[in-house]
Parts: sequence; structure tokens; C-alpha cells
Amino acid sequence: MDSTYLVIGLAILVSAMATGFIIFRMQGMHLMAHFVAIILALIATLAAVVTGMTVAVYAAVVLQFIVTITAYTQLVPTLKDSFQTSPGYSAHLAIVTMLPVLALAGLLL
Amino acid sequence: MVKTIKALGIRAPNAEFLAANVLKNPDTPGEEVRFIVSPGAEAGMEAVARKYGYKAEIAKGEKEVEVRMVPSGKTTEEIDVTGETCPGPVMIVGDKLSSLGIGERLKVKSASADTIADVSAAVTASGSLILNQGKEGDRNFIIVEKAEKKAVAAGTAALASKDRVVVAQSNGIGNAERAYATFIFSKVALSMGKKVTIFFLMDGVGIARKGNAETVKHPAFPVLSQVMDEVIKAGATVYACELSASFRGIKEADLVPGVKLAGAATFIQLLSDPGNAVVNF
Repeated sequence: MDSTYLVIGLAILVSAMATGFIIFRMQGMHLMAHFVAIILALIATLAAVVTGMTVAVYAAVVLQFIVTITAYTQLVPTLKDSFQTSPGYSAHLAIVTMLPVLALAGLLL
Repeated sequence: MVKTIKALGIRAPNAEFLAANVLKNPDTPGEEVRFIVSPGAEAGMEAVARKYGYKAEIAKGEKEVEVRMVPSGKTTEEIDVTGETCPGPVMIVGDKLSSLGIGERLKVKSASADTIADVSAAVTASGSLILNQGKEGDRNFIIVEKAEKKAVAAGTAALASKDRVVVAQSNGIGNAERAYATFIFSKVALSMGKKVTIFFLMDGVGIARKGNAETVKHPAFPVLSQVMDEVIKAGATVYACELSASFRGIKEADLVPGVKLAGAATFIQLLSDPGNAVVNF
């Protein structure tokens, strides 16, 4: 396991907090599940980076996947019909889509 | 309902005799009666009111005097909208006024002078009258008398006062604040007695797709679908742009009940009508 990928994942999660907060204000309570997932993933990833414990690393990887999945499940219904406002969500979606790739890289490389 | 008797030209004490006869033989027991008399003819009417169990409220004008005979013990209804946030006060007062008869009065109180100003604007727009306003302790108040909206000749009516509101919504559920504003402003307009037409176009048609509005929720408001349903049931006409719906693969069967597909010509017609006030969200 390479902790470099975990640190990059941590940086992405911190960024996702900022972009997530901006779209949370546009969408309201609808994104609550996704926002909670980001917070939990951030805590788990921070714990994994600091302790290096295998359990913490696996928890971080799972939660990072959940962050990406919830981003899509929560936003697709909106994006399906919203062509004009969709650019407002692109930054957040782009950033959280990197998470599963980095999570797998951290485990496999 | 308040009975109004115009007795201009009848002098005292004949106006007094007329009032006595009317109060002695009411159409319905305890009804309120309003006499419009010439200045000076109101003399003695207070005594008549007392004799028949009424209280006389006299408002003197330059050319006429209004003598309002209110049954003793009957008080003007009061509501306090302190703590309510926009559009709550306007809607509460609008609902209350709709349950009153023409000529009946309502006292509206609030700790906020801005709220009272907002309510005054709505009440006046709906055709009712502000009889009095002021402050009692920490409460600002207005006394409203329900009146029928004056009809204006066709053609000039629309220009004199825009009684129809068109709300154009083009942002959809991608912007929750604009989506809520569409229906909250519509509710206020309906409570002010205006005819409301909502036109969804571009991203806005997404709101009309079944199930979409149920996903939008702000902590301070009910779920969007509920607010939309209330507006439709209150009588708003709701259209979804046919072109925008086609772009998104939305068919008439996918729309929530109460929403109809409409073409660009309908939208242009709504915008071109000088009687329509147009609001964009």
C-alpha cells in the first residue's frame, strides 16, 4: 500500500468539501446523504494517513467509493433534466470521480 | 355581509328615523348596517344605535358621513402575524379575508412594520380598504375592510392594474431556491386575488416531471412537490414548454397532474398581453 495515493485522496476530499458545500446550497437537503459520506470518508482517510492501520485504509477506500456512488445517485436525477445548470455541478463530480481510481491505486500498487 | 344604505340628501332627524326603522327590522339578526348620509344628518344616530343594541362608528368625510352600526358585543376580528416570515403574513391575511363578507373588518397586528407594509400592499391590491393604521405598544396594526374589487372597463383593466401574473421558470430543480420562489411567489399572487400562470421552459420543465419535485427539500419549507401541488389546487394554470420537454424526452404522461404541454405561441401570447405581469425564475 502506497500512502501517497491516500494523501492525494485526502486532498481531493478536502476540495470536495468546498465544491460539495457550494452545490449543497443549490440543491438543499437532497444531497445530505452524499455530504455525510464525504465527511465520514474524510475522517477515515485522515485516520488511515496518520495511523497507517490496514483497517483504517480499507475503511477509507470503501467510504471513498461510497462518496463517488452517492454523488452520482444524488445528482443524476437533477442532471437528467437540467442542461443549463449542470455546469454548476461539474467541478464536484469531476473531483469525486477521481476518488475510486486513487483508492484502487492505493490498494493495488 | 354588511348592509349598506345610501341616504344622501335626507336630513336630521329623518335620517335618524330611517336608521331606527332599519335597525328595528333587520334582514338577519345582529347584522351590521352602514349608512351613508349627508354631513349633519348623523345627529342622533348614536342614540338610535344604543336603543337597538348597536354601537355607532362615525367616519366624517367632506361630502358624506359613514355611520356604521355594529351590534354591541361584536368585535372586529384580530390576527397577530408576529414571527411569521414572508410570504406567511400575506397568505394568512388573504385566507382570512376570503372568509369574510364584503364590508367586514379585520385587524392585523405585527411587531414588524415592514410586515404590515407588505400586508397593506397585498390588501390594497386585492381591492380591500385600509381604514386605519398605527401602533399599539410594540405592535403595528392596520384595520382592513373587505371590499369588492372595482371593475374597470375591458381593455383598460389590464393596463390600470395587472391582475394576472405569469411566472416563467427556466432553472428547474438544479436551483432549489428559484424552484421554491416560483411557487411561493405564485401562492402570494393567488392570495392577492391575482390570476397566476406558470410557464416551465428549458430546465424548468424538469420540475413538472413526475417525481422530480419530490427530491427537492429546504429545511425551512415543505418539500417542493407539496408547494407545487398547493399552487395547482389553488387555481394556477401551469404549462410546460413542448419543445423543452421534447429535448428532455418528457412526454405529457410524464408530467405531474395539472400541468399541460404548451407551444411557444402560448408563451409569446402570455408575454405579449399587457395585462400580464411577468416574473422570471
